[in-house]
Amino acid sequence: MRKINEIDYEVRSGEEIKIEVTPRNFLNNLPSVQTVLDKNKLPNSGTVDTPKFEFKVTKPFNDTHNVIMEFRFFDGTPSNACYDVAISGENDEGCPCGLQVCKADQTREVAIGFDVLLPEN
Amino acid sequence: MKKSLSLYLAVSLILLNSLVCVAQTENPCDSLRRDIQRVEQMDITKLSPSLREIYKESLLKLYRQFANCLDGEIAASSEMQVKVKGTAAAHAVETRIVSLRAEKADLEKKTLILEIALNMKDATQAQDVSAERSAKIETPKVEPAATSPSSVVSAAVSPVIVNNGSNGMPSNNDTAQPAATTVADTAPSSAPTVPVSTQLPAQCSDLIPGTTAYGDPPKLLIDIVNRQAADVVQSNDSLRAVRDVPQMAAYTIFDAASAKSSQLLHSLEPYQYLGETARTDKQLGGPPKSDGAVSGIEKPGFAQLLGLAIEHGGITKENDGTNLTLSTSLYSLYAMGEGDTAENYQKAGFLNRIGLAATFAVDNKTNELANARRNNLSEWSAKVRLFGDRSTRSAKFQTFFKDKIEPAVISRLETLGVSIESLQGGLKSYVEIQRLSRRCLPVFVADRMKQDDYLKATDADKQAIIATLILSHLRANYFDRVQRENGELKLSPEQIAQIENDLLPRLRSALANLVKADADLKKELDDLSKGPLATFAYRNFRIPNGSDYSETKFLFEQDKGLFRPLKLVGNVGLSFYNKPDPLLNQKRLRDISGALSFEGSSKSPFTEAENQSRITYAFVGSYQRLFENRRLADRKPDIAAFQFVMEIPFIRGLSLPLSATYANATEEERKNHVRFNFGMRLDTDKLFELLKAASNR
Repeated sequence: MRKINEIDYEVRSGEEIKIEVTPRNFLNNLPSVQTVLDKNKLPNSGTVDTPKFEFKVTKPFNDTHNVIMEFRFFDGTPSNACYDVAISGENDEGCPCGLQVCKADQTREVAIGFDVLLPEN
Repeated sequence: MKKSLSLYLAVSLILLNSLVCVAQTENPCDSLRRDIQRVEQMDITKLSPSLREIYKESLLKLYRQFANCLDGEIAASSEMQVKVKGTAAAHAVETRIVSLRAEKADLEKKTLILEIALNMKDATQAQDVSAERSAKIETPKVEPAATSPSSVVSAAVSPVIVNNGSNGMPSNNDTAQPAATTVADTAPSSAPTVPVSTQLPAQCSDLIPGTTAYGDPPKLLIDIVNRQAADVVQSNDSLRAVRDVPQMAAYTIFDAASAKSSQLLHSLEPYQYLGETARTDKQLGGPPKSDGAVSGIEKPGFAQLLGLAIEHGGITKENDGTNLTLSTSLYSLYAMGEGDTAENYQKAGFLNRIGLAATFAVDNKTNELANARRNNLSEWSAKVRLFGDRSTRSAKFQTFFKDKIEPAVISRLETLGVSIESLQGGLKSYVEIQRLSRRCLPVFVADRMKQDDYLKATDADKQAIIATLILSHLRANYFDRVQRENGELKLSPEQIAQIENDLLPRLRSALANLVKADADLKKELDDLSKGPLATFAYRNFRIPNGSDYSETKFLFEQDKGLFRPLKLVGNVGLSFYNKPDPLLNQKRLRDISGALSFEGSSKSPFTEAENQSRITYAFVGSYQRLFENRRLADRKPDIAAFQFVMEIPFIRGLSLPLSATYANATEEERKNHVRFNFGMRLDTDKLFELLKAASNR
């Protein structure tokens, strides 16, 4: 995987991509992240406290996988609560990769593009 | 056959023309540029395979000639750049070189596609080149912006051309509309314009920097754009402008698709994130016996460590003017070492059930933390939550959320995904344009953020500037490309029908389900906050001119009981002296006490629309048996009090707590009396939430 910017990555066909989320400063408030890959729900293979989303690049060369994530901050969550999102693939370039979504942000939804532009191994 | 032959001849003539053009007086590059444009605009869909091959070969030859020509121009311009260095002409020459290089990079990409189509280069090589090009984009160099609104942007000669998958050829749909654009071409004289830079990273030349106002964007789109613009300004990070490109692009295309789809989209309300409203209450402050307190009863909840407090030592402070209360929890101390992640919170287990607080008398008004010293310590306390979980972490709430709310949230995201997938599959240029938006829009935004008017603007104006830029980008690169005859994103009648009859109705349904889910969630959160809660409290009082004593209390709160809509709060406790003084008639057991409170609330007419704080009121009755007062003529051992407490919220997190108390005696005096207390409270957390909600609008 090669990082272009925090919401844009170039990947190769067949590559396994992992998106790991670390909620911080939530105290006794529930962290909650929902994720969709292209048009289907991407299940959380981690826990409520350490959400993890994984998928394999299946689209052909020059196409794009879109991962849309919605992050939630329930009422009462401290104002400095954040989700740290770490993205990894194989033979990563330009990483650590990922982004941060905080309660102070107004955009709670992030669409990450995975462009199938790297040559297959 | 006749048509094919004529096309064949046309290509040949153009090719021949381009071969001899060098001998003509016209700039050879201009001539080639025009020829390429003409060839690219030919409709090749009805050509036979052999003629298509000839077409590709001809176009490739033109591309290669044009590349050589551009190299010559770049070399000549570079030479000129050296000569005019330091003169007024330097900027124009530099701009020209950037423009030529962008055009050359674009040409290389198109050449590559044709070479693959003609089996002259395999895909692996192509990918290598692509990767190399992409790597260059990672840190695009953005020069200081040229702000002339009439300047021709660098994309002026750069048609969008993409691989159409099956044969790698640019189709009519892909290439017919060159992106040749000047501000004068696109901006109505009355329309507000956005200053554009003349120097852009190579691949970004395929995008049209937005120069015209969007016009009448749908509310859904405005909401997303405004949120992103606010984040750009707040974080000073241009990348925040592209966190939701596919959704913005899809809504723009739906808006442009047809009058019906536009009307449908405009009728949809923006999506409100579920589970977030302005906070309504918080229980902090000194215990009821402290001098500045207005309430005669103590609630079982204890201050959760606020997020900000962790960064400042894990302690929350509350100063009511008379007392300074510092609160923390054992978990917060644990989190200071381990980090406050949700995982650590779960690991901390029992620690997150224990709260600690210390109250100091305030005698230094200028430096409040200077009061936090041993001499000023009037009491300290610890509370342990025994039962009742009102947090969103409770198992019951998690099950509710997973079963009832999450499906609605996922349904909307999947609907968006289906729309985006449909556009990706149906419009050949969509993937490429969306990709370029993700990569290049931050560059445009960063460029804009360097301009003088932006730097001098207020935050609100900065947000408006960025929002206008994003909207104009969407207008130029998506809306106009859908609506233009032969536009790169031109939709077929079937695609328009799908948007009108399938995608938008699905989106409407998903959003309607979320409105219902939101109501269910609010009710569940309300119920959650009204469940039973019980706490054991230990408090140590330090009496400067008397005997220190300790108090233990069982605190209970029930909101969904017999007395609804009034909330029941009860305290039962006893206190004992650490070192009883026989001279003062003291025994080990100091007193037993009990208190009962019935609380209610009503809407406040004094708050902002988004502030859901309510006026709260309570009737409190308390009884205390103070054993040392027995057999003393001027004191009463049985002390009873009745109290009315009210807190009225005002704007900006300010509230006025007040109370009126009648008691038959005090601990020191056998005399009935009436006492009034009032104060002013500022909830900074609530203030923050309200400011955020206001800036959201």
